[in-house]
Amino acid sequence: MTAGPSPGLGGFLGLSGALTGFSADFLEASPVARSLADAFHRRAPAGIAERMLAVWDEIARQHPGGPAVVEEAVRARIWGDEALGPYARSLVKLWYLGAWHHPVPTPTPTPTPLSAEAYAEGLIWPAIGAGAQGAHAPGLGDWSTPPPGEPFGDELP
Amino acid sequence: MTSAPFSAVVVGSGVAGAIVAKELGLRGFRVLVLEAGLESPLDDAGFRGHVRTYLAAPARGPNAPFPRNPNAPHPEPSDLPLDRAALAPARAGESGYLVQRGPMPFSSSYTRYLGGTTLQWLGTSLRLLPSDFRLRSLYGRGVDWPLAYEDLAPFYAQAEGELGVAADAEEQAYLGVSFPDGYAYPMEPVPPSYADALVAAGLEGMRFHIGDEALPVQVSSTAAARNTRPDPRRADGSASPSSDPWARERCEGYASCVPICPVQAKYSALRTLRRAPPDRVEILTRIVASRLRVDPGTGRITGVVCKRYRSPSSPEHTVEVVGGTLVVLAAGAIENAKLLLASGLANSSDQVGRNLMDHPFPMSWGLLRERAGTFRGPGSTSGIETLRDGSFRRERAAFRIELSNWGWELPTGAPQSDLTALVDGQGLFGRGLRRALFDRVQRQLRFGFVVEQEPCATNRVTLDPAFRDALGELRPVIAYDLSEYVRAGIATARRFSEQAFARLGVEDCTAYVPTDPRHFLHEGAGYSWWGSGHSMGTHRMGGSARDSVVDADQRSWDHPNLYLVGAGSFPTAGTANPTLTLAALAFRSVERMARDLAGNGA
Repeated sequence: MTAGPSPGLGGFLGLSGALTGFSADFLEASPVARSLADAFHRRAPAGIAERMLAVWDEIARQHPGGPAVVEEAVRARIWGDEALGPYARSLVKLWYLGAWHHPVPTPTPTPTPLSAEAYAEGLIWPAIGAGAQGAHAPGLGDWSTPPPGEPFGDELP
Repeated sequence: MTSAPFSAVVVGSGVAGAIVAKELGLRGFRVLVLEAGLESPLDDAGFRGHVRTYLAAPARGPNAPFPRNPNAPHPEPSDLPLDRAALAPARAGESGYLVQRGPMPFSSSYTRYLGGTTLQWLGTSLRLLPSDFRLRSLYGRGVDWPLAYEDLAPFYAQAEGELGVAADAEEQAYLGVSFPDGYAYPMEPVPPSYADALVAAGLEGMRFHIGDEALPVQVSSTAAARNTRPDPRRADGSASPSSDPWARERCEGYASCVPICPVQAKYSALRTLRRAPPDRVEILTRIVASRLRVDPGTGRITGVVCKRYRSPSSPEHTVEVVGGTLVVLAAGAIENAKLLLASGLANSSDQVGRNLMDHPFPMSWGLLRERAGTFRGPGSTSGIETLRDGSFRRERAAFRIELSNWGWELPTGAPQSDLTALVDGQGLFGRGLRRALFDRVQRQLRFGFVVEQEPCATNRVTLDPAFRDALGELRPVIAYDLSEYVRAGIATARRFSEQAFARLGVEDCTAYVPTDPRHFLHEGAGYSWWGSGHSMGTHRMGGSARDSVVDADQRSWDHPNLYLVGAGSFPTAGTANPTLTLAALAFRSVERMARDLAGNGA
């Protein structure tokens, strides 16, 4: 195996990184990255995923700078876009929760879980500084130790 | 039936039924166990199928690993009516399993699978207080039990051995609870969480006033049927690492005790069933006890009419009758009452189905000023037990306090609900989302109050031929409310939260929903509560056939070979989670059953 994004996944990982706050490298290491990309393309209406990735490609080309600049561009052109924004939110939930939440105006009361693995690999767990409930075991008494430190340390704006 | 092939037929395979079956089997008696639900595989590989069902489930309620089976349905949290309109008589029974007559919904579930509700319980294993057995004598409330703490103490010790309880006897000796000199629990205490330590330090020296009493507030480690390390002082040899059956199933911090521990570090009745001698204890699943047959002359139960099905997806079944010298109902408080009412038996006192109790479980939640390390370890490792007794119990219910290690999971659906709230409500994404989510979840604190519910004759299980399950069995119809005594206890619990939060510097985020049918007003303020999963009281024990269903041995006053075991026998609820007590009562009843059987020549 050679390093680097799988064919066709690079743009998806970059976009996902900007939306989730995790690095594209971290996301690439996720064993469910491919199945999440497939689910996103399959469940979003025709053309939405392609358009979002095309906009992301432009942003990535125009803003090679730091994440703060990129985030502002993503906010303006994807997160705040009337058509793309709702599915960008669904994509964030897909990565964090391993389940597809259909966007507003009629959010499904129960989201559709992709798989047990997608649940266990959900970004919510590293994001809150814990292991996936029922799928990760740090060992007897781990819960007595001090909590983990803040993500990013002082680097955030 | 004239010749009974089994010494005992046990209906239900939860902790009470499993103990009765195993103990009678070990004494040489032949026992048949009837489980209405599906077999939860007794082997580890099979158990993992339930774990995967949970991990892939859309909702994470207590029965998530155990999907409802139409032929032996159980209540689900999702059945609960969300507003009062859903409790209107015209809509009774339209969804779910329990038929809720109101005015409040009975809010607890249970599990109809091999192993019963211990498959998904938290594992809390506290003893009742000596005063809990004497509520009428001491405080003029409820009724007294027909036995005292001292009568049950040796059986508590047996139950603690069976369940493998982790605790320190010195720490558990409070409010009159006593242990023999040198008593050791089988397991060393579960280590308290970092959050427990924060709360304990913050509440150090606090006293809480109820009426004219100033009660000490002290955080202590909670006794739990959860494997840690065997206590070397336990004299029964179980501490030997090579032979210890529990050590292979040690708690590793999966943080999913409810609804399922992937390594079975938490006790379930499957463990007791595995210890039953297989040549004498036969276990059948997918067989629903439908009616009891009685000899009208002697009053003896002569058989159990059963419906046996093959597949949960088809109501097709055969009818069989099984018999035993003794018949033991161990199907849980609601199912036991259902079976007795359907059979029209054991009810000369008119108490069957009445006095249904739970521990109403109000919660308070807020944000600490610092990170607490939430969502690590067992759901709860410490509590506050010092408010469980006092003369205030004349006027208001007592409670124990459970400290959550899983933040706001129970009341709000955290951490998933925090993510959706930050994304949809605050429009956050990227690193800002991560930082906000980490901060919000890490600082979550939640108190839960296990509130004593007094027995009320009008809180009851009845049957109505209009409501049946897929096999044609009657569904439990439930009328339920909280008395003023309980409401006053809930209000006191809330007052405790406010004081404790102020002392800890916690930002109170508690929000009750006024349209929730459990919401009520008390002296101008609004309160709500949840269920604890503790169904109790439907076949109360007592000193006389006039006003109770069973005697102190859990034997039916009306039918000499019928036993009703489980929390349905509790005359009052106290503030201890009921499993350890019902396990102790089961051990105690086995002594009497064995005497009955010996006398019978069975």
